[in-house]
Amino acid sequence: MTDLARAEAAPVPEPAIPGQRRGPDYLPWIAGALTLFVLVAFMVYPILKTLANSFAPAGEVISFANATFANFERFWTSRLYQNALRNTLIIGVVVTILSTLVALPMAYFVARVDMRFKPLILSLSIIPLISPPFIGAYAWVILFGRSGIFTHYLGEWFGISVPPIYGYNGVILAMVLSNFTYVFLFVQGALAAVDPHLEESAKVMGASRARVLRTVVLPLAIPPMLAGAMIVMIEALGEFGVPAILGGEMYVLSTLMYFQIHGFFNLNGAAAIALVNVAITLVAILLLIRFNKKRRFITVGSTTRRAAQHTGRGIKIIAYVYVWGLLAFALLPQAVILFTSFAERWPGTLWPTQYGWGNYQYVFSRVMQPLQNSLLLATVATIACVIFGTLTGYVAERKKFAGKWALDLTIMLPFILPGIVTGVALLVTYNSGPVVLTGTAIILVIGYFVRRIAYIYRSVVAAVGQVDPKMEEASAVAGATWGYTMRKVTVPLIAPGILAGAIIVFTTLISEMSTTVMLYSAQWKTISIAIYERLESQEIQAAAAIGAITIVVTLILVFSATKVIGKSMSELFR
Amino acid sequence: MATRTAFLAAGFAVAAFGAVQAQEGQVVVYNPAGNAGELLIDAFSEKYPGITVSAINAGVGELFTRIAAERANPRGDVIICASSEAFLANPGLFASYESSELENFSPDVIGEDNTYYGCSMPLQAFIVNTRLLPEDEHPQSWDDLADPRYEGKIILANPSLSGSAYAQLAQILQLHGWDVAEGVMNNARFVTSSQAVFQDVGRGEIEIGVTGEANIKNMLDDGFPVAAIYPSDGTGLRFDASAIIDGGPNRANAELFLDFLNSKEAHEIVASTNRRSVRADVAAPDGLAATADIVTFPYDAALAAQTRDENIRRWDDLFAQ
Repeated sequence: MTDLARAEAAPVPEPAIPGQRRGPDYLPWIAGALTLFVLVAFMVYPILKTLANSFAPAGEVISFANATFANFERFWTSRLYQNALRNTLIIGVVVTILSTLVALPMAYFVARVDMRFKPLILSLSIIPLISPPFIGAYAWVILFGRSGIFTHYLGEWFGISVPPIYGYNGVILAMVLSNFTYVFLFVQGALAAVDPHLEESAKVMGASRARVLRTVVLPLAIPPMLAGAMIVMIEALGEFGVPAILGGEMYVLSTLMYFQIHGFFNLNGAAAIALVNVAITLVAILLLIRFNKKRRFITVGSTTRRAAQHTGRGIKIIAYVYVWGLLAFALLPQAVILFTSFAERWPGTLWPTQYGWGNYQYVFSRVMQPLQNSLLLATVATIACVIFGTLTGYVAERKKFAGKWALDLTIMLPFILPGIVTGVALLVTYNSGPVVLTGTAIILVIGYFVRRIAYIYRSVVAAVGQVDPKMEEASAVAGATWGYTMRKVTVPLIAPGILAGAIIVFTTLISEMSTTVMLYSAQWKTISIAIYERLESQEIQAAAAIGAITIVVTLILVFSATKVIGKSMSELFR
Repeated sequence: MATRTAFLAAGFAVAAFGAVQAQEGQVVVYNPAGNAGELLIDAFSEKYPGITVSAINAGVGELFTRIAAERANPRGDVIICASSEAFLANPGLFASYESSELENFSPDVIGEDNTYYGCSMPLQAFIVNTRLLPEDEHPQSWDDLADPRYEGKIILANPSLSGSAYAQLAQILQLHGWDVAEGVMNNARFVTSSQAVFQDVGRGEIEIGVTGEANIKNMLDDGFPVAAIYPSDGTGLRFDASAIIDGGPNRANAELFLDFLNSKEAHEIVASTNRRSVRADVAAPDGLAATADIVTFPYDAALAAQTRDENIRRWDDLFAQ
C-alpha cells in the first residue's frame, strides 16, 4: 500500500517527475497492439485454422469442395457419443460444484483462523496439480481397486467392502481432489485481503456473526470463487487420464477425443469433438460473466490491517482437522507415486516385494537435462503469461468495448482445447513458411504461453474487479501516465492475484505433456516427456521415480521462490 | 549446455565442409517402440559413431499426427516399429526405398513400393490372472470368450477408440462373425485405455484380458501372476513396421538407419525385448512359443480397414443397448 500512497502523493506541478503526462499517452496503444499481435499470431490464426479442419474428411485440409459434417455425425448417430456427451456434462457440473464446496471451508479456515504452518499448507495445496498423466489416476486403483491396499485392509480388519472405484464414483473423487485447489487458492487470497473495517462496521451496526458471514464475507468471496470454479470446470472437461483409468465403461468426450488420435490418427475427428467441448465451455463462460456482472464489490481499500483471525479453541480444532484431513486425502496419489518410486519389484502383490534406490539410479542420467529444460521453459513462459495476462485481464475488466466476449474466448480457447490440438496448430503454422520455429525452445514457450495465459487472465480479471477504479483515476488526475499508474497503483494492488496465478502456471507447466509431445525436439526434451517415455516402455516404477523428483523439486522451488520474493506463501495468496 | 554447444558446433562444421559424407552428420528418429527403439538407437550409434542420432519418443498416434503436421517441411527421418494399421491409415507420408535387406523379408510385411518394412509381430493373446482364475477355467479360444460363464470377468479396450482393440474385434469378426462378437460384448467391460487392460489383469482387478503378447511376457518376467493363452481358433498375423519419412532432412543417413533396422542384428535386439521378429531367421524371444507352434490365421488388415466404419457403427449400437 505504500506504493499507492506515494503515487497519490506525487506532487502535480513538477514536470521532471517520471510518469508525468507529457503530450499524448502512447503506451496503452503500444501495449494493446502488441497484445493483439500476440493473440492473433499465436492463438486465433493457428487454432481457427486447425479447428476449421474439423469440417474436412479425415487427413484432409478444409476447402469449399470437401466441407462436411461427417466428423460430427456420430453425435447424432452413435449412442456411445451421446452417452459420452451426457456424462461429460454431468461430470463437469458435479466436479465443479463439489470442488467448490470442498474448497470454501478450507479457504475460510486458512484465511481467517489462527493456524500454524500456513505457508506449508499453501505449498502442499499446490502439489495435487502435479499429477503425471495416468500414474496419478492409477494411484487410486492401487489404493481402492478390487485388489487395492485400502480395499484389502478395510475388508480384513473391519469387514467393510469398498464400493467399486470404477465409474462415476472414482472419476468424481479423483477429479475433485486434484482440482479443488484452484478454488481454494483464489478464495483464500480474497478472504485474507478483505478490509477488516467492513466486517467491524457490520458488527457495530448489530449484525450477528452468521449475518456478517452471509452478507459481507461470502459475497466478497464470490468473484474469485467463480474464477476458480471456471478453471475447475475446464480442467474437468479436458481431463483424459482419470476417466480413461477409472471410468470403466463410463466414457467422456475428452477420452473419445484422445483416442481418436491414438487409435485412429484422425485429428480432424478429434477437432470436431473438441469443438463440441468448446461450445459447452463457451456457454459456461457466458453464464458466468452474466452472473458475475450482477455482483460487483469493490473491496481493496487503503488499509494495511490484516483480516481478523478467529482464535477460539473450538474453531481451531475444526480448522486443523478439516484442512489437514483434506490435504492428506488429496495428496494420496502423490504419496503413492513417492512410495512406488522406491518399489523395485511390485508384481501384482498387495505390497512391493523389494524396495531400494534402484529406480532412481536407473533414471538419474535421463533426468538432469530434461529437468533443466523444463525449469527454464516454464520460467520464461510464466513471465510471458504474467505480462500479457495482466495487460489483457486488466483491459477486459476495466475498459468498455464491443466484442469483449471474443477476447475472453480467444484467451480461453487454447486452455479449453486439448493440448495436442493446440500443439498441432502451432506445429503446422510454424513448421514451414516465412517463420520457422519448430525444433526450437521458442515454439515450446509459445505453446506453454497460449495454453496457460488463461490462468493469469482469470485471476487478474477477478482481482481488478475488486480494486476501486477511483484509485487509478486519482493517479491519472494527479498527472501520472497510464504506464506509471499501472506500475505504481494497479499492479501492486493486484499483485497477489498475479503471483497466485503465476505459481499455478509454473507448477502446471512443469508437468505439461500433451502440447509438449507435439513440439519438443531432442535438444529440448522436458521432464514430463521423460516420464511419458518410461510409461510408454511400461516402466511404471521408473516413471514414478521421475514423477517423485518432479514433485519434490517443484515444491522446493515454489517454497523458496516465495522466500526470495520476501513473502511467505500465505501472504502471496492474499 | 556444453553438449548442446558441441552439437551446434558439429552441425556448423559439417555445413562448412559442404558435401556431407555418409556416416557423418545427423539422423532424427521417431520412436514409438519404447525401450526396444532405445536399444536399436544405441546399437546404431555404436556402429556409426560419426552420426548423431536424436530421438523423439512418443506414442504411435502422436508421432503420426506429428509427421502429418510436418508434411510441408518434414523434421524426422525414420520411424521405428509402428503398427501397420498406422501406415494403412496414413498413406503418402513415407519414401519408397529398396533396402539392402529386401530379400530377407516376406512380401507380406513390406509396404506398397517398399514404403515400409516389417519389424515385429504384436500377436494378440489372452492374459489371465492365475490367482483369480484356476487353470482349468482358463478360456482357450475366441469362442470361449463368448461363454456366459465369463460374464463380468473380461476386460477389453473399446474398438471404437483404440486401434489395437479394433484389430481384436476385426479378428473375431473375420473368424466367427457377429454372433460370437455379441457374446463377447455381453461378457466384457470395455475400457478406453488399452494399457489399462493388461495392467488391471496383472494387478488382480479383473480375471481376463486380450493384449499383445509382449505385454504379457514382460509381466511374467516381472513375476506377475499371469498366464498367456494363444486362442486355439487362431490369432491374426499382425505386424508393425519401420519406414523412411518422405522428404526428411537427412535422407542418406535415413537409408543407413533403415538398412540397420532391417538387419538380422537389429531384429535380434528387437527379439531381446520380448517382441517377435518378422524375419524368419530370427528366433522367437526366449520364453515365448515358437511362431510355428501358434495357431494363426491370415488376418486381412486391409479388409478390416475398409469395413471399419460399418463395423464400428454396429458395435456402437450394440454397446449402447
